[in-house]
Amino acid sequence: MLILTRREGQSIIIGDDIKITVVDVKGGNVRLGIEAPLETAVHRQEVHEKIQFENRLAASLTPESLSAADGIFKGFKHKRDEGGQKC
Amino acid sequence: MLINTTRFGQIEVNEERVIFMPKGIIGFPGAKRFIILDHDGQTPFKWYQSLDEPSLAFVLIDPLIIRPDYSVDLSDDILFEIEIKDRSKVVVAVIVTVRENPEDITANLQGPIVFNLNNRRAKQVVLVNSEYCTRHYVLAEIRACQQKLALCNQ
Repeated sequence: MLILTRREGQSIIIGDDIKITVVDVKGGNVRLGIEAPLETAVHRQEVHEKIQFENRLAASLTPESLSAADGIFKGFKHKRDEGGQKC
Repeated sequence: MLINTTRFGQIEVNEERVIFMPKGIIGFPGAKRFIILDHDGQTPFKWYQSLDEPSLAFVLIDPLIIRPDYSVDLSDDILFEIEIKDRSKVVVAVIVTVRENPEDITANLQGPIVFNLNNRRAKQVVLVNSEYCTRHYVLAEIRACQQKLALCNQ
């Protein structure tokens, strides 16, 4: 991993078009400003990890365990097909 | 074409129905090609079977069943990645997780899959700063919605 030291107001450039600026350092928190092309997604790592964790859990589903829920969910069809009744 | 799956054995897949996810599913970057399979026509569930990993399959549900006002903000990175030109040709589904008790099925409304019907490309999206989380109790939310409806119709 490349490690760089930056002060408030200083930036790093990644590639041609991504710029990360240290906006503020206070009480153990660092605020970063990110300038990147619109088509580049920028996420906080923990949100991404949460989705990944849930995906792994969801991927272990078997037809048998889903079928156990069939009785409960029978009749809950796609609202779209019924003319989109709203709450 | 014939594909192998762990859950459903060998199945025949019409190539025109294959869905392509350029970056795969989050946590499974190698799983790029999927097919949607029926579960039980009476329930709102569909299987989302990977063609690249026979043992990988998810269960999808229409989020509008859980939250009739559910919406996803189509940011530029989504539009770009799956080449969305016509927003009316976009469909969203969410992944469900079954717990030990079938009544406790949850849906991940924070990581929906966005489909471009025009080119059958899809992307799993991460919603940040949204009111949705990765675990919404499907049954409880449907019931709450129906109660609201009943009140409105009184």
